[in-house]
Amino acid sequence: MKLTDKFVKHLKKRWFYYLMLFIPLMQVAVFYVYVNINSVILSVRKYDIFTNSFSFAGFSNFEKVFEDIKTQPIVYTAVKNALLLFALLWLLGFPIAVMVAYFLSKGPRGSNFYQVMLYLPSIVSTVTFVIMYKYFCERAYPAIMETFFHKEVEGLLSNYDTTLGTILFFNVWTGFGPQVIMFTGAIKSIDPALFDAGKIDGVNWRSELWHIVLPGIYSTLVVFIISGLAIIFTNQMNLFSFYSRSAPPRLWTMGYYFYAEVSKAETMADFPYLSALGVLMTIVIVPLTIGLKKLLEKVGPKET
Amino acid sequence: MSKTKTLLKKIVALLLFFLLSFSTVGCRGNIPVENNTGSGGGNHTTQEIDKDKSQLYVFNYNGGVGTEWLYATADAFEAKYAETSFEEGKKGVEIKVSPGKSTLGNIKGTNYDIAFSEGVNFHDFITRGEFLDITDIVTESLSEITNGVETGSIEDKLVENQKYSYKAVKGGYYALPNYESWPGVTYDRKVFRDYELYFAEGGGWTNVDSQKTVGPDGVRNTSDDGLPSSLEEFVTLIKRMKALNVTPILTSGAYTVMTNKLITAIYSNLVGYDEFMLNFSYGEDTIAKTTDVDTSANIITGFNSEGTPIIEKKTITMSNSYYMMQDYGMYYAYEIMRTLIDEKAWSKKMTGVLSHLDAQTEFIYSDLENNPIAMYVDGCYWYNEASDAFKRSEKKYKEAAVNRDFAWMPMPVQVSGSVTEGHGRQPVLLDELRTFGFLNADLKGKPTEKLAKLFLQFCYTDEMLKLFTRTTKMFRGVKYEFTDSEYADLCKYAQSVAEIRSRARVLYPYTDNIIDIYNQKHMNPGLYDTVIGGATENTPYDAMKGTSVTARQYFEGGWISPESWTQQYGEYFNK
Repeated sequence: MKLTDKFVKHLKKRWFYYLMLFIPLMQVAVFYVYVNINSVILSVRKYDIFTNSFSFAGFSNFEKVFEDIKTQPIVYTAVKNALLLFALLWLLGFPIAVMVAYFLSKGPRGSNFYQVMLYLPSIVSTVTFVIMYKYFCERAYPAIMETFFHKEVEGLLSNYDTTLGTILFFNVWTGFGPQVIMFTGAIKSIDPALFDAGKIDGVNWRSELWHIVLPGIYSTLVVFIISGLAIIFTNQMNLFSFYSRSAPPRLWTMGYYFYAEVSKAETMADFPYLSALGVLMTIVIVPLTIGLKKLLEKVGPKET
Repeated sequence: MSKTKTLLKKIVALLLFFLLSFSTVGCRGNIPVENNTGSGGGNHTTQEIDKDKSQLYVFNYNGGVGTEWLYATADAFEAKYAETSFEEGKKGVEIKVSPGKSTLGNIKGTNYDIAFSEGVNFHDFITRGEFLDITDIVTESLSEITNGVETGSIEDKLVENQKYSYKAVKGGYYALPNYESWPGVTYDRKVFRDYELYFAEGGGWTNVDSQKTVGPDGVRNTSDDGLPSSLEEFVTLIKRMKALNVTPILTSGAYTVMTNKLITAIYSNLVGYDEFMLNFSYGEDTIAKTTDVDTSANIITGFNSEGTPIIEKKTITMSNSYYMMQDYGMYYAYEIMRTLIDEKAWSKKMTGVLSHLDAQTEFIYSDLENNPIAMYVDGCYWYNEASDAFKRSEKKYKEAAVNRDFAWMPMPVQVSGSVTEGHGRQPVLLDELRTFGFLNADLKGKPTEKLAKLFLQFCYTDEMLKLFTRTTKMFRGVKYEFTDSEYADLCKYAQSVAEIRSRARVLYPYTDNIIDIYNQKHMNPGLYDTVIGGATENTPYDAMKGTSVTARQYFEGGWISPESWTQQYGEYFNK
């Protein structure tokens, strides 16, 4: 059989699958491959408004980015907040999620109800949930404080000292549900014989968690940590849902910074600089992500 | 699995696939006559077209200005040209309007023939070839289209810096100003009268016209009589309001950047037109170079041991425009913000969930419900934007809520003391939202090119400009005035807007300076960026509320060093 005949036969048999793959592949090609290649190209170009043309700019955009990192506190603030969010999710969110998932996996009374309630913030649209949360912080909380404690207080979002904490809490909280669901699923997939063996050996819950559950869900945990790190510079901490385009700069993360800068970009002349910043962030985060993945794989439990 | 079942699965999957494809097409933002968010559009917003008529597709940014004005203008245009043929085999025109809540990033490649949008960096649009050249309709006489009523051109209705800046990149006209959006304060004149909040000549308070002070313009018997002429008087007025249990001032708590509108209004009026304009001309646009306009600014170079600003006159050029971040007007505007916070002048209702629409409703209802709020901070479009709230209040409070006595408030023009007769200053009204009307470059050579140009020209005839103001209570960014009888027909708010504009200088923040062309400014947020204790801020209200941040700290944190300025803009100095 000739090669072309083989190809035609193959195509006749598989045409449906290729057709189904068309849209996602196009989406990746346009919105990922093209956009990223274009960003890299833009990062070494400059735009002239009078001639509507781009020209090679060498590394001048990168030089400007480095200069801004040194001189513009907003970049420092945005990086600091992004790291703070990641640290909170990692150090506070994950341990609590694992603990809750562990106890829910034991099937206590109402565990299904708790799981639904925990997952609710992920089911309800973010904007709706943000609105409800804002009303709680700005209307309900001051009313509660006044009614029960006779204290006149500002809303948690209006109060300069509590704004960042309130938004960080929201992010940890809304990220909590999916983590619990995923971890519960992972725990349930652990061989029950291991738990039985533990019971026979008389392990307490702490030992069970440490020696059976954590090794059993380690790969799921790693996925969460790695994906959390990979998006550290694009996570906008739901600031757009809270403030639209006018979030106070002291709350900005790098994700919001990019969003704000791109949305207020006035001319094509603004994009090369932003592309350079994006490329630079990628250069920073890619080795970190790969390094952390390798490290976690190295230090994690090994299958014997 | 049977073959039928497999085939059925494939059909279902394909159906879902096509559904997905259709929804993707639905993402396209340029299908005309969609998202009819306005009301009263009639035939202008329906999909059906009359094949015997020529169609014109118009996009309108449906923000505070609304779209009613466009429906009214379209009606007038359709009626005027009902018997005219613009395309072979067709007679008359149908104008299809698409009100949208998003501003346009491009028009070329869309189905819109004309667009009226906001946040437009026209230099960039022109360079990218998005706009059709409209020099012919801007410069020709309006005599034909107005049947001889007007003899001048649209160009005659533009002020000098508009002309220079519009033509800066390609030498011709490509866009026309849409609506003017002034940031500032609206005050409730009824509350001012009821509580005697006007300054009386010789001291004290009054609500009798003849006893009032001359106000910021220094001219007796104008609408600003009795209003604070200095920042000192403004603070005195705030204190009186507090003492009388009148809430002094309100704006959105959810979008606190709106408080910057007060900063801008105070700053621009304190320093005056020429000095504020230096933020955009950098002392070196054509007007600065060819006329004797004052290009010096009052710059704070430091503070003495008592904390009083040391002010020096500096001539502003491109290379030293970093001084504009040290302008005394900016400092004193921050001082007022600090005082308003300290005096608890801002309404307690300004929580983080009070949107601008909620704030408008609060202001409208406040006096009707005997909890008066004296002043409201927003853009001048707010009155039109709040039309639903007004309707609701009229339904509830009947006659008392009809044609409320709200007015645009002239701002103080000096730091302390009082303006005396003949020593005041013209108000400054800053047009801050960069709104423009323009044609799609794709129209070039098409049969509807002439029609689209004619419609745009029609929008800028005096008759349509006045219709625009009557409908929106706002002005388009060109020169026109109302006769006494026309003025009398306006509602009280529109009268106050028309009255202050007739004696003010409107500042269009565009020039043909090279830095401005490449770096058109975002007014809000953007103009008031600062760094305090390592943290960036862009809204004095946010930085000062609940903190001890002083005006001086906020002000000094925004200063730009000469090195930093040169590094950022040095490439333009010798262009």
